[in-house]
Amino acid sequence: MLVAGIDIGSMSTKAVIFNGQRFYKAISPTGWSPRQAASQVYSQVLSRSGFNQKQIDYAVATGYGRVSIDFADRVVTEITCHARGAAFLLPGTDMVIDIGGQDSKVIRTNAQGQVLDFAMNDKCAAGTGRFLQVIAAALGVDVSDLAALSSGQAPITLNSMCTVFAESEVIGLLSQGKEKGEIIAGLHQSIARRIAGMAQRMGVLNKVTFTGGVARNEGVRAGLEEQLGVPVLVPDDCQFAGAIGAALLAWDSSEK
Amino acid sequence: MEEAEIYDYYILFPNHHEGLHLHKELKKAGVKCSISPTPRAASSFCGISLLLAEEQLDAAKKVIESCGVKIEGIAKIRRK
Amino acid sequence: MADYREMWDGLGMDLEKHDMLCEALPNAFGEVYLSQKNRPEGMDYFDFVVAEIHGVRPAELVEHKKKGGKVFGTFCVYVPDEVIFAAGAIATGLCGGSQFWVPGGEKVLPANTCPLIKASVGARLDRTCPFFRLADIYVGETTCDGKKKAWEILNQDVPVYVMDIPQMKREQDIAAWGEEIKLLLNKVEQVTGNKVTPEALAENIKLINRKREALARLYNTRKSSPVPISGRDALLISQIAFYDDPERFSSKTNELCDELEKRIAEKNGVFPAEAPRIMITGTPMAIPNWKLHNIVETCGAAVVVEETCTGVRYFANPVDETGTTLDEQIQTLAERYMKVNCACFTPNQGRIDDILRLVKEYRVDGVIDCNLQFCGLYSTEGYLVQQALQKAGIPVMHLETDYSEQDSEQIRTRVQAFLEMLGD
Repeated sequence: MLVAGIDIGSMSTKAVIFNGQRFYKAISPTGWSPRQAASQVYSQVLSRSGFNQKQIDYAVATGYGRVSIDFADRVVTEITCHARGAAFLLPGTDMVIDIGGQDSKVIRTNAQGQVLDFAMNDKCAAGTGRFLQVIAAALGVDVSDLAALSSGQAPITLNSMCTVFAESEVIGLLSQGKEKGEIIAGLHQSIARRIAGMAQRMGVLNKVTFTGGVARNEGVRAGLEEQLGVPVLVPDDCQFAGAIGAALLAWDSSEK
Repeated sequence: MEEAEIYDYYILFPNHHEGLHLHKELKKAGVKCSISPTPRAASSFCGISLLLAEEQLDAAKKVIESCGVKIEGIAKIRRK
Repeated sequence: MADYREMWDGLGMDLEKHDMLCEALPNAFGEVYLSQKNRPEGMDYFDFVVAEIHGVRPAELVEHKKKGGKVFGTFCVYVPDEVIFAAGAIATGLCGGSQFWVPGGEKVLPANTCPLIKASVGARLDRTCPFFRLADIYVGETTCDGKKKAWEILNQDVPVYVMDIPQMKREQDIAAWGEEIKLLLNKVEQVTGNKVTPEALAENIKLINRKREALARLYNTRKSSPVPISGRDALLISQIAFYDDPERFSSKTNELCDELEKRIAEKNGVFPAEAPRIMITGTPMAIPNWKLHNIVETCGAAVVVEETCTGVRYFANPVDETGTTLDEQIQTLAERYMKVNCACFTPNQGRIDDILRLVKEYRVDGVIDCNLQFCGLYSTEGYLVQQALQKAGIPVMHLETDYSEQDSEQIRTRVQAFLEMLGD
């Protein structure tokens, strides 16, 4: 049996193929057309795996662009997929924190990766990948360098979590001669505080899995761990948690 | 992929009394229709019209003729 | 061609701007309502009322005023319609539920005011709603800080009479609300020039009770599975209850209920019996705010009950009809109205008890606790509501939204995830 999971996020699109033994993966920026990105990443992962589309028994689509593709057998929200994916990647997880390009979510899950409760940020980019991207641009650095730049720096407290206001606050701090590293450390801390608040409202848990693109940022991860007081673990495939969850759900569906 | 074009038909009236009258007559004759606000594309009159699917159009026209309700016309509008 | 322009012009409305509002309604209504499958035939009347929303009923109010009658505009289910009708006046609900009016409100109110207040103020100041023009006087109340200050601003443009709602529910608070009803009665007499007699008040207590009974009967049909009417349709009926002629409304609602009860006997539903059954609790949804119901129901779940002011809070608890003197009647009115569970009271345990009771009665699978953005009272109380539901093992999700469509897709994702969670 062969199944596929496609996660069309606001910033990147991920596809995986699962044959019961291993996952084949592909990732690419979503760009302006979720539909095009999805079919592109899908063919990429197909060619990488050596299978063709006709051999796929079942495909599940997830992510904000999930409704824009026509080759999925089923559409499932990213919340359900992330829980399933994270519980698979790091068994024993009871909470998933996912920070993606456009939103952040906290999900309480059981050992089977079923959702017990969840919360999402409100309709703005505060504390998301997009937020980090905007601020990185204002600082003239690359998003992937944020963690290294802030490592070991004393955080400056930022007052604003609104992307627009935080950007001007950061520019103001730079003009006062503050160190980039300190500002970035402050940024990570404020994101961690905000997300930790969402998580704590759901009750304190034992093992947190951190997924999504922002999970690659060690500064945010360490900040979360400090705020929550429990281990916050990032799986190797942190960006693929949603797509892997989608593929596992596809596996369940095709078994039925 | 082009979506198939589906049209809705709106029967327009000089006032709501005529509209309600025809609605009753159509119901009696078993012609399916709904009372709808008049879309701007059909008329600038804010008030009721009767919404029909294409299949019901001929049957509705017969009822209109036989019961003598005054209508302002029938607008054909492409469904979005 | 029938044209209400003359009437609207006579009411001092901004016709050009109003035209833009008229333009939006048919599409929205068609999409949310007329596209539904297997709707009860009795919805025809309510479709008619919406299709003629700024026509037929305003024309009736114009006629009433020509004969010297007065119109009172209200904004809260605490304001006793009985007293207003007993003086030969007409009460009409004025809450604004459209994003169209929000920018008009933002001209004078802070942006972080709840959309209901912004829309209501905007509808008046922009002169784009006939009901807001027709009311001779508005009856406000002190349910929240936003409203309290908004009355002062509105009062510059239209007379606003304010009732002081207690914040607790002790004996002395019920007595205080009785005093407020007495003061309203005096005001109504002064504005109309008519005396409120015990006979007239008794008759109108019955009139409004009949409306409550009709709504209670409607909601009762929603306890069945499969549910014979959609949540969207039930919400629309509740919204119309606020401004339609009470007698006609009751009879049309009862006619619909005859049909719904037949449907129940035939197991004829608008959703499959296994569709998740959702309760919505929180802030009111004024017409034409159908956003959340539409999202939930187009995701495949049925909204079977609303614990809101545009739901059970509006019609629960009839007024005792045995009073024969004004004092007795005012006392029974005060007792009935003080049973309404609004988050403006502390504590408000009655609401939580009600939610838990309704979950059982309506066989609810999950609760969506939703408040309008910037409503501090309901969003704060949400903590207690969610806590109580979690303790009872009932899945619950909190949402905060406004009238705009900007967040519709995000709300849809959350609702879908919630339904997936219920399905597991």
